[in-house]
Amino acid sequence: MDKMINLKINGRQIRAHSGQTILEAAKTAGIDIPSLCHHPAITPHGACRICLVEIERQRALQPACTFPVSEGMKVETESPKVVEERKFVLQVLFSERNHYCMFCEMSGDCELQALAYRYGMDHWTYQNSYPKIPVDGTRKYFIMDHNRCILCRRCIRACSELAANNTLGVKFRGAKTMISADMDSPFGESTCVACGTCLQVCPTGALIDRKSAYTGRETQVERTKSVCMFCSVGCGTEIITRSGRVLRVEGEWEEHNKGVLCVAGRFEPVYDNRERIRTPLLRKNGELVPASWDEALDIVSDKLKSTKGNKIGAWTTSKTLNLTMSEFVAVFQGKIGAHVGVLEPTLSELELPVGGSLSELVSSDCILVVGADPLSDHRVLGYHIKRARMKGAQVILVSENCNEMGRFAHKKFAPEDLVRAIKICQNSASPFVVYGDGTTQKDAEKLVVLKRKAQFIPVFPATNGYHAKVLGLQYGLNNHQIEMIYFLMEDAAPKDEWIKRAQNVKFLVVHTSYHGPITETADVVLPSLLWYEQEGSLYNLEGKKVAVRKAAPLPEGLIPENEVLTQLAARL
Amino acid sequence: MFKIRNLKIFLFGSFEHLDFGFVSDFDIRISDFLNNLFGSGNNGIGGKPMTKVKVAMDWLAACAGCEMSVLDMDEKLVELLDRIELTSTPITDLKHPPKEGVTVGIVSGTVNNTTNLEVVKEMRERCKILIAMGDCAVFGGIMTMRNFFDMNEALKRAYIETESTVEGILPSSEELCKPIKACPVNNVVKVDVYLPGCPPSPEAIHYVLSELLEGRIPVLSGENLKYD
Repeated sequence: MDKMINLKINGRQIRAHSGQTILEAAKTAGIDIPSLCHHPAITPHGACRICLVEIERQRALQPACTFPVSEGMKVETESPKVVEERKFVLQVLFSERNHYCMFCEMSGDCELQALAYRYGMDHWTYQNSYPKIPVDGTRKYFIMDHNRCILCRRCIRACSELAANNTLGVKFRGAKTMISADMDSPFGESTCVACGTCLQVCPTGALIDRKSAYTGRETQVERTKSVCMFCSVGCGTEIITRSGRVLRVEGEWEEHNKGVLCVAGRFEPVYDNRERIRTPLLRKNGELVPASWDEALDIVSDKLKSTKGNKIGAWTTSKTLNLTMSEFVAVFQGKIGAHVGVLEPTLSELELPVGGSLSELVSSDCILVVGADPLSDHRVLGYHIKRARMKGAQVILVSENCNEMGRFAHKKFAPEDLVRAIKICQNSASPFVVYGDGTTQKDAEKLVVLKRKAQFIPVFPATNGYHAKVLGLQYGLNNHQIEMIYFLMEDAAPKDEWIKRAQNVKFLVVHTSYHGPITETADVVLPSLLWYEQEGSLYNLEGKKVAVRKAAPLPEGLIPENEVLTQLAARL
Repeated sequence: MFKIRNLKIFLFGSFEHLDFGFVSDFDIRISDFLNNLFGSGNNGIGGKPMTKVKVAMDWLAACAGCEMSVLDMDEKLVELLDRIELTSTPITDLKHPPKEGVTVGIVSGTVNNTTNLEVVKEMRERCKILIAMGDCAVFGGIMTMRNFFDMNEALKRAYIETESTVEGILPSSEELCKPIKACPVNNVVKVDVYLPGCPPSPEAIHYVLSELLEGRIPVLSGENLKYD
C-alpha cells in the first residue's frame, strides 16, 4: 500500500507515497504551490483553480490538490504558462464580486489578497459589474459577507467533515451560486450550532468575527496556546490577545480536537459580562467592603483555627487546575481535617476504564452513549460521535430523558435495556463506550464486561473531573452539622443547591471570580482568576495532562488560587 | 523636445495580446517611448541640460488622502522638485493642466459624476503618461458602495433624509453635474501606470516617480504594493 513513487517537480527529483496528491508531495519536498480552497484538515476540492500546474503530456493544466502522483510524472509549478493562468484566475475571482480591500476586516491577513500581492496584481482587467450581494448578519457571534466570498467551499467542508453538522451548502449555480444554510434559511435561524469552525477556516474576509473585527492584524496580536476550561473535553485553544485584552479564541489544530471548538469555548467566554470581583471583600456592618489580602486571609485562618475540623466544609469546583485542586485537598483535608468535597459529580463511584481516544472514536464502528448528552454540554465530543456516524458507525443511545443525540442514534434503549445495547457492542469490531454522570453503579457493573473490547470515554460534568476522581474527591454537599464553609468556585456559575447550602451556614467564605447570588450572603469573598489568566495543567477527555497558559497579565492585586491556599496554610 | 503627433495611436496603438492587469505585460513601445523622453543618464536628450519633467495632478471623487501621502514624501518631494515641475495640482490649485500638455499626469479619486468624466478625459488628453493613484482611481474604491443603491434613493438620503437637514431639497441647477455610476479611471480612459493603496505609501509614490524619471516602467512589489 505504501509504495514509493518517483516524480519530478520543477526539475527536482522527488519521492512521494502512492496515493498522495501533487500538492502533498510538493509540500513534503518543501515546494510551495499556492492554493485557496485547499486546507490540510478537510478533503481537497479543486474549486479555486489556483493550484493548477503543468504536467507533461496532460492536455490541460491540472489542480495539484486533487491530482494523484504517478511514476515518472513531470510537473512544473511556476512555468510561464502556469503563472499566466494563475493571474487570470485571480483576475476572474476579483471581478466576480465586490472585493474592496480598503474597508475589509481581513485586509493584511487575507489569503486572496496575499496571492494578488504575490503575483503583482496592480489593477483589475475585467470591469466590476457591481452585483448586489447580501450580507447576512443574523448569526449572534459572526457575520457572513457574501461580497467577499470566493466560493472555495471551505466552510461547507468544515461544517460537514469537522463539525459534522452539515448545515452549509450552496444554492443556485454559475455566477449566481451562494453559500446557504439548510433550505436557504438565514444563518442565524438555521441548524447552525455556532461552533465557528467555518469562521476559522475562511481564507478571506467573508466570515467576520464580530467581537474581534478590526482589532488587530496577525502581526499585531499575540497567540497563546492553551486549553478550554469550559467542559471536560479540554479542547486545545489559541487565545488571541492584544495589549492584555482577549480578542478571540481559536481552535488549536494539533490537539485532540483538531481545530474544532464549540460555542461554549469559542464565543461565550469572550462575551461574559458578569461583574468581576477585583479585591478581597469582608462583610462589615452587613456590607461587603474591600480589604487587603492580609486582612482577609487573617480572618479566614482565624476562623479556621477556632472551628473544629469536622464542623468545616470545604468544597471546590472541578473547573480548576490540577495544582489548585491538590493544594485544596492538602490544606483542607490534610492540614485542617475538614469535610472536603467537589461541587460536581466525578464519576468516581463508577469503576470503569478511561482513556479512550477522540481520533480513534471517529473510526469506531459502534458507539454506545449511556448516561450522557454530549451534544448539549460536551459538544466537541458530540461532533466527533456524529463524524463517526457519518463514516458508518452505529450509534446506540441509552437514555430515558430527552437527549440531543436522540436524532442521530440508530437505536435507542431505555436504561433497563442496557444489556441489549451492550450485546450489540460485543458484536462489533471496535466499539466505544461514552458514559456520563447519568450512569448508575448497576449500569457500570454491566458495562464492565466490555472492558477488554471497547475504549471508554468518561464524560465528566465539569472540566477537571478527571483530577477530582484521581484525588478521590466526593461529590455532594452533605448534611453534616457545618459551621463554616469554604467554596472554591472559580468562574463557575453557582447552582441552586450550592446557594441553598451557603445560606444556612454561620460563616461563609467564597473564592470566586464574579459577583452573584452566592456572594450576597458571604462573609469573606476572595477573588479568583479567569480562564485566560490561569497557568497550570489539567486533564482532558483522553486523560492526557494538558497545559493551560496565561494569555493576559493578572489584574492588579489578584493572586492565583493555589498561592492563596498556600498563604492560608502558612497562617494555620 | 520630442513631438508626438498622434498621441492616442502611439500610446494605445493596437494591443493584440490580452492584458492580464500586470505591469510586466506592458507593451514594449511604452518602454521605448520613455527611454527617448527621459534618456538613460543625467544629461537628458542630446547632451542638453536636463529640463524638468512637467507633472500635473488632478482629483475626481477623492478624499485627498493620496495628496496627503504625496506631501508625506517630505524632503524626498523637495529633492524630486529638482527634476520635476508641478504644474496644476490640487495643492497649487490651478484647475486645468497646461494646454500644451505635460509628460506625467496623476489622477486620484473615483469617476463619480459627469464633471469627473470631463476632468479625467482632459487629463488623458493633456498627459503623455497617466498614473492612476490610489485605490479609488485604480479599483473604484469606496465610492462604488453607492452603486448598490438606486441613485434617487442615494440622493434623497443625502439631501433630504439626513438627520441634521431641515427642509432639504434635491439640487437641480442646470450648472451642476449629474451623478453617474462610480467606476475606476481605467473604465473611462487608458491608464499607463497603476498605483494602488489607500493611500499608497509615500515610498511607493516616490518609487513610481523615480522609476519613471529613470526611464523605467515601475513594477510594484513588496511593501510598495498594498491595497489598503
